[in-house]
Amino acid sequence: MVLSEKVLVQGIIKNLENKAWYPYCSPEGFYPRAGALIPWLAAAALMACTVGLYLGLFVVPVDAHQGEVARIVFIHVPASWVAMLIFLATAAAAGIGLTFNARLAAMAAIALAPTGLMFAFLDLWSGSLWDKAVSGNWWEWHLSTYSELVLVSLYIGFVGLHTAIEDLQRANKAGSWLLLVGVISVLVNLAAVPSWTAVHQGAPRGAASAIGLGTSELASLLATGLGFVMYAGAAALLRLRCVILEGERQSNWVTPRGSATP
Amino acid sequence: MSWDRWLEFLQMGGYALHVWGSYLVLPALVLIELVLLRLRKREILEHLGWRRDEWGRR
Repeated sequence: MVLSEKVLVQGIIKNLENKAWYPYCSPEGFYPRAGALIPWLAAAALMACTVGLYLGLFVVPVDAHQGEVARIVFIHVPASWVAMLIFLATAAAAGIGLTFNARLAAMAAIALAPTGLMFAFLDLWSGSLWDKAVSGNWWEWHLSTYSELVLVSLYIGFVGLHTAIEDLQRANKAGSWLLLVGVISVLVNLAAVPSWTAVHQGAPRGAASAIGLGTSELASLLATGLGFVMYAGAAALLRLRCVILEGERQSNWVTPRGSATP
Repeated sequence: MSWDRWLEFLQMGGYALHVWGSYLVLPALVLIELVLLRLRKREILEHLGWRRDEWGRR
């Protein structure tokens, strides 16, 4: 056993030394690989979302306290998870771009953010509809609703800041700082979410009972969450390929020297 | 399911607006995002003079 582990570790080290992973780190090498990955991610996302939403709408029994309206949880909670996850991924990519001056990582950050914004908006929107149904108000000052709004603002702020600065290097650096500071807000949100009773309509209903009871509820949340993650991957890779071509249009692999294209 | 059951399901216990308002935003947002991505891709490919995108292109 010890020997085989040693062989495994040596194999990994050898692989790293061989620079087999280098192609994945340059925009040029990543471009075709990302393209090959997209159809698989999209197909898997479609399947996982279908399973998750089917379970949430048809299989899960009616909530004892809130009735049918509690079914919003099966889109609200996965959207919330994924909006936060994408923000952390965006900030991580931006952080790598900032510290190692890695072009592809900075490009990944700007490619991820709009899809993250989409899920943050879905989270805020469905949360608002749920509040309206349960309490009669579109807006309730729960910690979670507040964090959702902050998350939406941070995404808009990052994309806006990045777009407003024309120099790409400066835009990447400024955007990275905003994202890294914004991680604090997401951590506050993560800390808030487990305390369901304090956050979601003040009672162990809806979200809480959905998670506390039964496996179909949990399976629905996990399947939809997984589907959202894979959709976000596919959409971000699609956008990343556009960003790569836009950013690399001066370089030889995109526009070979001597060709007529500008 | 029978027609009545479907109708009952669509009514969502009187919360149809809230439940379907939450769910149907997802396909709408996905559609908007994919259309915008398609337009962006077309624009950059036209700018580069690529007739179509080749995945294996170097």
